[in-house]
Amino acid sequence: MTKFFQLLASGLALGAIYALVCLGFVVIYRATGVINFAQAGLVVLGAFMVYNATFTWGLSFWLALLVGMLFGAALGIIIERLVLRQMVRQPLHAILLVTVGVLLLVEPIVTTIWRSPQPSIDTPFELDKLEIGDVRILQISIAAIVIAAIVLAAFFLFFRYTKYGVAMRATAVDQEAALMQGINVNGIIALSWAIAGVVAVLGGAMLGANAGPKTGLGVGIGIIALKALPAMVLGGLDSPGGAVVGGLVIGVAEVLAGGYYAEFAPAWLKPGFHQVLPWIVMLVVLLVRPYGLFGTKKVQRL
Amino acid sequence: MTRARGMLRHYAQDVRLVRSPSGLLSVVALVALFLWLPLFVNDSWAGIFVVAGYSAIAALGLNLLTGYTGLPSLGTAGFIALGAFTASYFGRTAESLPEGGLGWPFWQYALLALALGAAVGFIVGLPALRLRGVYLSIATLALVFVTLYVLKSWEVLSGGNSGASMPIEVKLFGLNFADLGGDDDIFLGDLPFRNGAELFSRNHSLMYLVWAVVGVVGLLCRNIVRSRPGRALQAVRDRDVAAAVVGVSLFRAKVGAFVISSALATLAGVFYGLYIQYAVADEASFGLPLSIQFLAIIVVGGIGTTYGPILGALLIAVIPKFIGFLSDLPLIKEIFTETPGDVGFSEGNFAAILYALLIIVGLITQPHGLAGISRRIGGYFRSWPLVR
Amino acid sequence: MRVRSSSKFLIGMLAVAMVAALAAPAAAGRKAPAETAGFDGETITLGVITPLSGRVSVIANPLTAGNEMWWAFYNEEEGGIAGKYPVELLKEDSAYAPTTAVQAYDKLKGDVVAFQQVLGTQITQALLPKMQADKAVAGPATLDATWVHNPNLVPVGAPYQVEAINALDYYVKNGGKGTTVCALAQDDEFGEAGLEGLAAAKKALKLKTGPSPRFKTGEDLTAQIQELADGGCDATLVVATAADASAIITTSISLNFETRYIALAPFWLPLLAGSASIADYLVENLWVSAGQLVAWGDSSIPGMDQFIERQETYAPDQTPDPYFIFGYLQGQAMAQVLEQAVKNGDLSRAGVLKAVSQIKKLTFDGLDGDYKYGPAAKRNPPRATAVFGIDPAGPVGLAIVGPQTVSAAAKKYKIE
Repeated sequence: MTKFFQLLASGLALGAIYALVCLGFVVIYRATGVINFAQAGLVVLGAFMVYNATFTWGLSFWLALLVGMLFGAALGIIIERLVLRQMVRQPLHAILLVTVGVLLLVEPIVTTIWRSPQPSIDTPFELDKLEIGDVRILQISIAAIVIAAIVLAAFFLFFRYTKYGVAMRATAVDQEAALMQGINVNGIIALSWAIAGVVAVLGGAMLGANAGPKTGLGVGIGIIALKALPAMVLGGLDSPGGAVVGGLVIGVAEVLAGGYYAEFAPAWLKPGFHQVLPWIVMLVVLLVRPYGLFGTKKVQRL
Repeated sequence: MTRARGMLRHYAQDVRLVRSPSGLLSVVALVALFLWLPLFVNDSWAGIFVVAGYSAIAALGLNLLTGYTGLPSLGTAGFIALGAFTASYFGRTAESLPEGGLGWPFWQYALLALALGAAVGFIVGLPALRLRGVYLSIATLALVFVTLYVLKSWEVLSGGNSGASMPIEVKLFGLNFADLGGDDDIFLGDLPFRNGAELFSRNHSLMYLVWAVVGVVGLLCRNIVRSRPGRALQAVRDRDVAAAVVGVSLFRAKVGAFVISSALATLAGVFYGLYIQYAVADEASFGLPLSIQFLAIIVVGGIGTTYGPILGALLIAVIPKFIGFLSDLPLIKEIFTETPGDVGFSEGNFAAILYALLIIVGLITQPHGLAGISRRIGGYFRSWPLVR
Repeated sequence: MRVRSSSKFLIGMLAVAMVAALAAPAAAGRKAPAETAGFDGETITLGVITPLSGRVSVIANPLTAGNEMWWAFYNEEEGGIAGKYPVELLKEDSAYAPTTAVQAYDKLKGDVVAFQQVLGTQITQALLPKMQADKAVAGPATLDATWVHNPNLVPVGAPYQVEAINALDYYVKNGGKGTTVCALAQDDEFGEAGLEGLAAAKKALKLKTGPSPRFKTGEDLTAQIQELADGGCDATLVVATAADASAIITTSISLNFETRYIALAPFWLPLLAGSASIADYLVENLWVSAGQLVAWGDSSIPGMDQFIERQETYAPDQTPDPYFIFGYLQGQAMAQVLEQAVKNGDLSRAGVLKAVSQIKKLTFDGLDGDYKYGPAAKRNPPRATAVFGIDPAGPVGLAIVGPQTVSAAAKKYKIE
């Protein structure tokens, strides 16, 4: 049973990371109806920005996180302004592609600025862990879970109780109608990008500080960020709550499948199965419930 | 002909394959170019034309799916992999690695690849009836990962982690399209028609085969879109409910588009395999970036036109050459690139940034792609002197 | 269009005339090599196909800098090949993708005599059919045993399999007898190579082996490490690259997994030792099996002082890096090949290919053991490797614990 709980704990830690990354995807999707591949790039840039603030500028981790979040917000707004706003009224695949273009920019830029970074971002948690019986989890992973919870709660409060949140929901439902109501749609979209930038920095900083899959700092973070896509679809593209649930489910499923592979997998099932499992789960969910677990059912069936 | 150039009298003219004498002329010119170009270019350029050729085949299919039917797919890479390993297993000889190839002739495994692609495309097309937009693109991306996992697990076929070699000879109509020149230089009349002393290489030979197929596929796609099925696809794209109401079968349109585009992508995979000669079923070769590349081709080329994907494939294939040329310019080289270890961009990173910027700036400033540009230029000359 | 071979005669005559014209001034002794692709009569050009961009550039950049440093030295102090033909490198980015690499190859092959460096197992595999057709020669930048008997390749260094066997032999002889040995291997061909080494060591040393989970780069490793911990692994052969090193170590720490990790050379990057939070665990638990040359600045290694001296002269900004030395070694090997080719008076691709088969052995000033060459089937790589512990104070973070030796098992290991 220890093994099960250990895998569960690690799965939740991984899932929390997926959830954080997903929330960034969801915000943009709600505002613009596009999957923003550049989000994975923002996560990488966010991680390196926080690293720069701690390692090069010598700030404390939390202060660096704050600096990073401001940077992320600014970067989000800049990308929206310079690139995405120019793409209004272009078809979906073109917008999808332009976000990929932004993603492609990140790796060469990061490897140019930070040539040989430290293996990870230093945090006050270091590699201390919480032990419950024989189940162990890094404190930084717990921090990631807590941060994901806080962000989700903040989202909930923001969308429900603030003027901007309500305006954002209105924009998500129907841009033209929102415009008629006097909502500054451009401003709302810029705000969404700023939020996505902030969330990306949080996710990136946690990944860079060894939370979740413990890969530490590197451009490889972007790959993990893209693996959050099945979680996002599972939860429903436009639901923040769905993103978190989807992230946790996918994270736990992936780690459990990996952990019990050796014991239970038949011989024809080759290693690496747990890596495609999230995608298979997603496909099945899409076939049964095409709009994810918590997504809005917009379209009639024919 | 007394009517003004570019003026159409009735709709039948609009859907004609070749709309004007000048159109006929350009067809002749293209055929001549097809025969002549491989004799002229060097090996490196021939390789680029092969890449452009197989990319065009897959992009023509993807264009039917995404451009005409409005179903965005990120699954192309999976079909490319399927095609490559079909070519490998059925085409490689028993002695080549991994052992156990069947050594079929080219036309057999090419047809098999088409059939396999169509079959998988049919299965993939079914959920497409229920999914749309972004959901569909992510679902097709998932299929890439599942396909790669299955292929890699199937070691007889793909060689697992060690990868698989591809057929060496490509025999068709008694010719070996992997080595047309044999050991001899190629001459036209008495003139050696190759610049450089290299023999007529594999790339040159494949160039004929690939571009012949591009021609056939292009014609096929042109005929689809100018006839009833093509109009049905566009109706589905623009408003699928309305299309269903006027009697278009959504099932036939959507699944049909998937079947054709998947079959073509798999066929492109066969040529990918023949070009690259060795492949491992993993994400480094067949991952998201490859799928994205095909999307880039149709968007850059001009979505929803038949010649757009071909132009796009040529452009995307040439970009590395162009970037190489740019970063070799003395001024740029001095300012931006430094030796590794110093500050400044490394050559590779500089090229990668240029590539990304080309995509972004191209999409923003030229939303209709190359086809849009060429149409504007064409329109300018047709309506001259009545231009602003 | 028709194909005619009779005109080959004319071209042949022309070539002969050209050779004669060029050879005339060098009548003093042996004939000078004719101009050919990559050789204009004065300068020899070599190609490099390596991921200059992206995440593998961390490895490719120092490795290429090592190549460059070797030739900077050789051109300056030896005057180039045969004392008169300086060597230049022409670099192309492979972006670590086979398609890009194949295009880079097509672009370069008309302008180079041979390829100094091709990085990546998969990329080398993709280029091999073309190289065979073109009779081209390349130096692979991976230590895969697959390369050893390939006539078109000029591999250097002890293969991964040998690294694994030697280190396991050292482990068994130093308190590891009768314990359980496991493995954690990347799910690709590099992983396979390491596992082959484990299989051979198991047979020769009668090891008791435990689980050997595989992983993909960038994934959560809890499941794998937990499996190893549950399998009672006293020692674990870890076949991974530096990209996953941090994740493997951190996950092991977080799960309190205590084992003797035995890693192969690609696992190590010097900056790993600089991380305070994992340094203790590394010092306690990690050995790295590699050729002794990676111990940057260790004067006890023959040839090291000479290397450092050259580095300080020709690449003074270079930080200590094992891949840099590997690149230097590659340059050394290619220089010996080209010397032979010039001696034969033939720098054409076929000529270089022939020169490779004529070399008796490649030597590396003692930095690495001699590599027996000759016809490809008879090649025998150096089988001596050293075992390193982690020393955060050292220049590359490593310190020798088990000096360079050839284990009996490694000596017997048959490379196919």
